[in-house]
Amino acid sequence: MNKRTLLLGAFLPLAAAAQSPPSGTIFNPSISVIGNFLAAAGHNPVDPEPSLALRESEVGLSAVVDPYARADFFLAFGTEGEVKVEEGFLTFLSLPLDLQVKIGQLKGAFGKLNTQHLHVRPFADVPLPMKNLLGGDDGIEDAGLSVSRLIPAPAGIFLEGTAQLFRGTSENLFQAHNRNDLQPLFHLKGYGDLSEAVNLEVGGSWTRANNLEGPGFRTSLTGIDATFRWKPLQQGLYRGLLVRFEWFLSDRQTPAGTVRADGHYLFGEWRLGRRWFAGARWDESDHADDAALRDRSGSLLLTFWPSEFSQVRAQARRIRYDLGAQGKTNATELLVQLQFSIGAHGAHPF
Amino acid sequence: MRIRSLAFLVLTLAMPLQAKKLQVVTTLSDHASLAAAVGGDRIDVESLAKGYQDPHFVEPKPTFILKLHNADLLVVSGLEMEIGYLPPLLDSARNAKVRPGGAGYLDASQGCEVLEKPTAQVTRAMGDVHPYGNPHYWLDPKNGRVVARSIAAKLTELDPAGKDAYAKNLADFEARLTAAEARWSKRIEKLAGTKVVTYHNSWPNFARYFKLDVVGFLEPKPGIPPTPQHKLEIINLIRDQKVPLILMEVYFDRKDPDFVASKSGARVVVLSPSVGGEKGATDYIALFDVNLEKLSAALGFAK
Repeated sequence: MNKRTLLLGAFLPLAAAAQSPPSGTIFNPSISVIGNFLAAAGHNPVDPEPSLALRESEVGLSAVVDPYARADFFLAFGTEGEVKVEEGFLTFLSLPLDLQVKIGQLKGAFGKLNTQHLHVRPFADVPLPMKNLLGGDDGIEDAGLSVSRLIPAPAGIFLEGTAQLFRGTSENLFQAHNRNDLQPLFHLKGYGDLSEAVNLEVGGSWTRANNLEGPGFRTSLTGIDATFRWKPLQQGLYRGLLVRFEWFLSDRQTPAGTVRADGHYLFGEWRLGRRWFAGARWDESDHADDAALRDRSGSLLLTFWPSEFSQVRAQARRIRYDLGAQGKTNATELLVQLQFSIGAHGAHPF
Repeated sequence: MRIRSLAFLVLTLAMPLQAKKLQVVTTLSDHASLAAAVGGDRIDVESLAKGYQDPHFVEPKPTFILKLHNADLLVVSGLEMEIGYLPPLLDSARNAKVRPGGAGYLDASQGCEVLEKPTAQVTRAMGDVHPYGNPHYWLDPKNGRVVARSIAAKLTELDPAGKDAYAKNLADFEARLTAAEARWSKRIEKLAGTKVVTYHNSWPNFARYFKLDVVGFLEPKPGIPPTPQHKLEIINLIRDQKVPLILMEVYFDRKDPDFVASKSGARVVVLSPSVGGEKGATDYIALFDVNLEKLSAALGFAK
């Protein structure tokens, strides 16, 4: 559905036709609002979701600032009424050396999942490695700047390198204690079309910052992602396959030494028809603070898109939590998600 | 040996004199065909969408970013046809020239006759409507002529040295189009007033030019696939109004049109909405030739 970059042109409730909107409104940003409603049933003794919740309402505002830059804001309203600027940044569009620079509050360019807003992810929940190793739902999300560049590559290969520098504070993951605790992040993305219907995307990411243990204790994160897509162009409205794998490695310094934990997920989604998608996901992850504990989970998903602007998703999920000395416990749940967007037409997911 | 060295030197010196071809990217294959006709050997042109895919649902592949990055001119179809994929690609292309407002950006819908511009408030209760009018305007050859002229003017602006070449190419194309229109006019006499049901509302410009009468759509609303109830209504409509043809685009599933045809007696004709959608639709003029051939064959008209 609506993706973060998106939003083009002014949102005009009236047909543009021959009418000229007043100049006070013509430069208004495009506006979109996305509702993300989640219902949960079943049993989860460790990390239960509320039975019913408007989990997130995201307001997107976007416009070109001047001949040099555009601005995007994504404001997320949570269940308890808390509001946060999920992202709010300026993008410079015409810099020399094929550079693109973003400055503001940004999602870290770490793999795929971390860059995706909640409503863009093709599942109702958050995979275990995100929860266990990247601090929770939102992962690396911080104030900073991002510089990315297209890297010359053989014909038909897209290569992009991104270097980011953050303040060093992301919820439940990193905590800067002084101005020198800056967080560098590097990402390399490669993409190639194997045929007009098949493409492959791979990426590598690395970052390091001060963790929550206190000053001087750091966590390094390494990630690898790979996405395979098949979509025959002529039958693209009815058929398609996406398979994505992401692997994360966390080296977390603690007073007792460095904890090395890893996690991954494998997700596949098959397009059954014009409006139906079936998916499956397997994820497992160590705990960042105790690599001896490893949670595992399997999910089956079915998504129905009534239109381009809404979707209903059912996810049957079973998680086996590792509680260490207390043994292991299972959670078996059914999550039903309803997402809907109004306002500016967003970019299609890819 | 000396002659060979001299020849090499001359060739080497001559190479920079040969002007670099303008790199033109279009979103649709139709505009690529028109650009190729007008630009001739002074341009390289490539379209992002293939003629056999739904132009509303082109995927924003990163390799498109490279094409846009290297482009001197981007020709968009406009009217929000590309809203689902072009904005993020342009944001990543690092090429201000081809962004809206840049010298190398051409909205081909400008100057074209666009139908079905809403005159009252539009909402998405109407389906995936286009608030600036029906975006399938290139299926009227008159609009194709306008687009060719716009492209020629833009190419001349970007490459003044090619002014004469573009003018000549445009004149040649227009002469071919005029000849084709004379050829098509004989078909139009036979087609005039033929009632049709179409799958998506892609054909208002085509229908108006070729004097077809579109009486219904298989999609209950734009972007919403046929429902059982709606299919029943369309079957009744076809029976009541004795509609002989159901027109569908190459990228839709035949199941629903075939079902409606089997219950109503109409014939399904798969038309190419864009250049390259069918084998014979190799360029803009051939696109209409192929589609007319299919319509005529379905209606049993002799050539």
